[in-house]
Amino acid sequence: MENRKIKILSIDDNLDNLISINALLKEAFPEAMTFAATNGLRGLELAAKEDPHVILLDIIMPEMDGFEVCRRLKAHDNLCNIPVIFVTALKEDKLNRVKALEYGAEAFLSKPIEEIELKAQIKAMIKIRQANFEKLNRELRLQTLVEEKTKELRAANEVTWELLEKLKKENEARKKSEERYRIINEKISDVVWLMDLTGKSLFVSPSIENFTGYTIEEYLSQTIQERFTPASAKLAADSLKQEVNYQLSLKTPQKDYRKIMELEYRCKDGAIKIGEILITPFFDEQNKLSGLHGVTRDITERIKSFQDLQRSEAFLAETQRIANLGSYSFDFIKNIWTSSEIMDAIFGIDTTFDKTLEGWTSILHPDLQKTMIEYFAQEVIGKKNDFDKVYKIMRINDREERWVHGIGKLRFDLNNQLIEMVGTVQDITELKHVELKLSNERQRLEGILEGTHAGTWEWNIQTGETVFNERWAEILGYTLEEISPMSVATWEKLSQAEDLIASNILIEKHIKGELDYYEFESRMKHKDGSWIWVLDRGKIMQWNEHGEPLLMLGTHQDITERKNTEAALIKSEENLKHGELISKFGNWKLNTETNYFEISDGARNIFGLGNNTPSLAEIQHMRLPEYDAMMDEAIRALKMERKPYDVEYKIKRQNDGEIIDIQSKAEANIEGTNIFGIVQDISKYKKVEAELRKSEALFKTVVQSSMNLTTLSDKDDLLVFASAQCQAVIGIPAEKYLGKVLPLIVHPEDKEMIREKWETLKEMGEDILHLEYRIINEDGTIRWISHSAKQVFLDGKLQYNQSTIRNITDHKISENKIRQLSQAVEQSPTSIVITDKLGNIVYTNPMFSKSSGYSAEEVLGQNPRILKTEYTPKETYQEMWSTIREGKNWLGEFYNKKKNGEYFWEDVLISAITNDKGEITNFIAIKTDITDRKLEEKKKDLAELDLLLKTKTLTSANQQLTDFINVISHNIRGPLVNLSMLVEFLETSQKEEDIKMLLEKFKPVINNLNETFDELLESLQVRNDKEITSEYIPIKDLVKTTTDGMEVEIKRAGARIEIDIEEAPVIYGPTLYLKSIIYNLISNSLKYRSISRKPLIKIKTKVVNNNIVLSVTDNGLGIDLSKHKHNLFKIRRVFHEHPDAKGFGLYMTKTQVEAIGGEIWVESIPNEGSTFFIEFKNQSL
Amino acid sequence: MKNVKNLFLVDDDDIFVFLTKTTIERTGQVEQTTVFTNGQLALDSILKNKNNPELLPDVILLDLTMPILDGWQFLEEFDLIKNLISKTITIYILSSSMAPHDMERAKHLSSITDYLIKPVTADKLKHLLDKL
Repeated sequence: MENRKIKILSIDDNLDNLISINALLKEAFPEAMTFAATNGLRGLELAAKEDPHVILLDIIMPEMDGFEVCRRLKAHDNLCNIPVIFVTALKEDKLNRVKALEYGAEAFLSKPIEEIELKAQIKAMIKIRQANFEKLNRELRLQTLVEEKTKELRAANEVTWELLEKLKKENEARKKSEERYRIINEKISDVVWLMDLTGKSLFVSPSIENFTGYTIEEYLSQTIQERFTPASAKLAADSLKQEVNYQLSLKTPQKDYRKIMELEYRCKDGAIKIGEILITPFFDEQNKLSGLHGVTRDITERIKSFQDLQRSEAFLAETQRIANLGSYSFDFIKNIWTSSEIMDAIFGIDTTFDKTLEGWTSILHPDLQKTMIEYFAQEVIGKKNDFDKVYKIMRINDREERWVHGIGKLRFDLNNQLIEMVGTVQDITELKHVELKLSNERQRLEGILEGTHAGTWEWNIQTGETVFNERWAEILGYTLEEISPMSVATWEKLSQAEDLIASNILIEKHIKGELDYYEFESRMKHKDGSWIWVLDRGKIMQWNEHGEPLLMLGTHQDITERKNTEAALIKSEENLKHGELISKFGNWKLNTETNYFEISDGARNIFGLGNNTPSLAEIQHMRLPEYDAMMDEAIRALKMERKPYDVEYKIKRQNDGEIIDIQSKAEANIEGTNIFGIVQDISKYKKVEAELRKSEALFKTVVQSSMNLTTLSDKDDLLVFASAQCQAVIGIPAEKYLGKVLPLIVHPEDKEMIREKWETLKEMGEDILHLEYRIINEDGTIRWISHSAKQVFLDGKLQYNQSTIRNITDHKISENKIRQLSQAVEQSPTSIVITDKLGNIVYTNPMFSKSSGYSAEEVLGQNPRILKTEYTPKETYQEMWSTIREGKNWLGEFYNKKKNGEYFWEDVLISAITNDKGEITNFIAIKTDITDRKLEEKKKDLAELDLLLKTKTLTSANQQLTDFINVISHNIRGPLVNLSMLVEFLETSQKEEDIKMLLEKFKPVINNLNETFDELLESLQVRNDKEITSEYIPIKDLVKTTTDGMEVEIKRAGARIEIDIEEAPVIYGPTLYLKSIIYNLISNSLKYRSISRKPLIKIKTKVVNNNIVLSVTDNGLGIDLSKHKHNLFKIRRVFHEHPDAKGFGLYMTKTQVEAIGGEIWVESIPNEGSTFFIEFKNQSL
Repeated sequence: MKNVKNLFLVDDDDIFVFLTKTTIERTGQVEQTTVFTNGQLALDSILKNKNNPELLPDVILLDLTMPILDGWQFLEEFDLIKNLISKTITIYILSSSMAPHDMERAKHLSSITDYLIKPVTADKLKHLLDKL
């Protein structure tokens, strides 16, 4: 359907919707005509007026809703065929949908409308519409056809009747003209005339005027040419002469002579009348011929009537002949029928035939003589029905069977008695034959169809309308009802995709005339979901006036069973052929025209696809990218040059992602339309190949790097072949001695033995096995070799002696070394103990016995733990075992006990001994007595410790010195700078008040300087206070005496002091320092308290190892350690803008702590508080 | 001629501050001298006026030993914010310490123009201000 012809009507009360739908429609069907109505009534009007192809209908509208519009449309004779698509926003509204369908809607569209859907729906609707039309048209056509046929029949009958009527009329006319003739004869006298021998008219009767219109006088004065038509004039003149001459020639006058002739008279009115002339001679009294006497009778009318009759009869005959229509009339009374020539021809009779009822009966075909006689007797004579029957006759002349259609109209007399039947007989044999043939054909076909159990189909190619029979549906497991409405889409829907494409191609070919008929075996979907095979045959039966195919008829045959058998056969053949699944083969097929891609289960397996049907692209995607270029080229060559390919590549299998090797072969058919390929999983093969290659490589390596020399020598000991190792193994270049005897110089002591063995080999065929002997090198050194030899037979004949020689010099050396080693072990100055893998002693050397006091026999089977003491920690043994069990060496020391109870230090190295497989079989311990060394070490350690301590003290002193420099440079130099500046200012000042002001500033500077001096002195005192004595000080008492002196400050601050010293109630140290430390820390806590909370000071002791840690915790301002950590304990450093902050307390505390070898540190969080820790060392608790 | 608009003197020694400030005023080269008694106060002022060049110092004379935020700490903090400041500030350390490790440390700080040892005489100050 062309777009431009499409008319689409949208009915929606919402103008916006209409506009948007209209826009969509214009987009989808640019040339369509669109109409819009904003309410149901208007919509109906427009529908009636425009007869649209499709109506898009909104459901919810005021006044008349969509359902009502639809109902009215569908109830309307002319509008009911317009497909209605409901447009609704109620996407999920099932009820509305059902309702709409009940009202006869064809389809649904949901808002928002998608263009694609709209387009598809409208197209589908137009198809429906088209189909509706076609159906309607077909119905109409059929109806028309029936009418036409009826008309034709009626017409044919009418013609017959017309003819009969005409015949009747003719008869009547004839009767009339006869009557007229009679009347003329009766009423008008003939013209009597007389002429002399010259032809001059002597007399004419008055009736001439009636006849020609001329008066007697006029007639008499006329010449013969004036009187007659030229032909008649001539005839008349000739006849006159003839008659006169004839009569004159007679000896005796022939008085009764008559001659009749017809002449054409010219009438006065110009008409020509025909006169029948009777001429007799006229004699005078002397019986002498004097003229001719004639009587002319007007026969014009008679001739004319006759001619008319003749003409009409000829016409009738001609008509009947053309229609092969014979006519007859049957006289019931006389039992005689008359018939036209045509009828005679139809019956094959001539005029001599017995034209009676009996005669007619004899013409009838014997088969229906009885029937026809009965019909004639009962229907025609009995019931007085007109005769109308198609019957078979046996043509008389040639005994041929003919079919005729006889019609007879009955005539009755006044008493209603049958008197006559007039009618026609038509030969309809040809028609009947065609009909019969058709019906036979039909029956035959039906029979065949019945027999084959085939389905049939009729397909209107132009409209797509398709008719299937019940069997067609049944093949696919449906009833006709279930697949209705039927269209070509029904077929397409049920067809297998690829087959449909192929089938369309075949149909196309058939339509083009390239194929006589369409025949195809295709797969179709059975109702139960299975695929069945169908043999489809069809042929175009009708073409339209443009030569386009119109109707195609065909059959459908279920060949599934055959196909399945075939398939099974093919499959089993394939299986047999490829052993596909087992051998990991798979095949695939690609139709390059349709791009239909198909792969076998085997291939599916290989690609790990499961039951999925992959696209070609998907398969290609699995291939590792590095093969793309190679495969692209292979595929190109296959497609373009039909060049088969055979390639190997790797894919990543879809199901498990495993990389496997694929061999892929493919070839195309000659047309290049199909590509067939097989794929094989060759991973295993590849693996084997790789392994083979590896083992080959290995073998090569082994051979090349082999220690063995292989030689072949002939019976005369001439060298035939030597492998590359010749030089390496025996120190002789083989290439020099091919064809010669190898110049081996055997050690004199071995010479005799070799000679013997070699001869035994050559004479007795006894193999030489690993014969070890010495040869002398060029440089005189000895080389040990191992020599095996055997005879080699080829074709049962001794050919060579083959030797395999190995240089075992190193091995011999090793052997010697081992011998030496074992001696070394025996005589070793270190103890050697070998245990089995469970740790039971299997060997000890003499040194072990010497060192431990146990004899070898005593410890055999024992565990080395007999030497163990409690001084070696458990962990050491555990660590040792876990180390050596891993196969690693363990190096350590044991403090062990000798048999006599004496303790001794041992340095021990333990190793695992493993076999070829790397399994631990034994452990070996190599032990050295290091007791002496240990004692030395201990001394050394003590010295080192001393050094460390000294260094630490020095470092500390150094730090203190640095601090002191800092103090001098800042704390002393600062005030000095100020003093010098003040002095300078004084010198330059004149004003009294300036001087006074400057002088006042001296005092604080000097005070500051004094304080610093005192503090420095104090701290120096601490450092040098070597004499200060330590004692055990109970902390509780110390804190009490200290806080007693600070009572006022504590009270003013509202502070609480908690003491928790249970863990260490007593500290060993100088009372003075401890008191100062406690004072400074408590004082700091009070000074730097938080204004938002009451001060809480906790004093606690804790024991850590040999030391006591005293902590003082407050909840004060805290110190930002990230900033002040390094300066915290330095002199004259302050960290708060507190008026009392002097930066001396912590400096002093640190100095004191360090003076007694302790440590001080701090933990603090700003605004939460600080904790100072002081560690007192070596408290010896 | 007053070629320095704004000078920060950062030091907690009030005697020294008094004397140095007087010396600065006597040079007549500084429009305004502002004193801060620790690094934090000076830093706060700079941060507050970081987008206001008028109120930022042209030069800072910085003591090292101060409570709260000492000279070194000030310089560390200043390094972090100096890219935010809309003005180039010349900083001199002005310390009584003659300790070599202090001077060495100052050399490695890019923000420092020079290390001056107290006291600063009027001549020395003039010379210094002239260079600005």
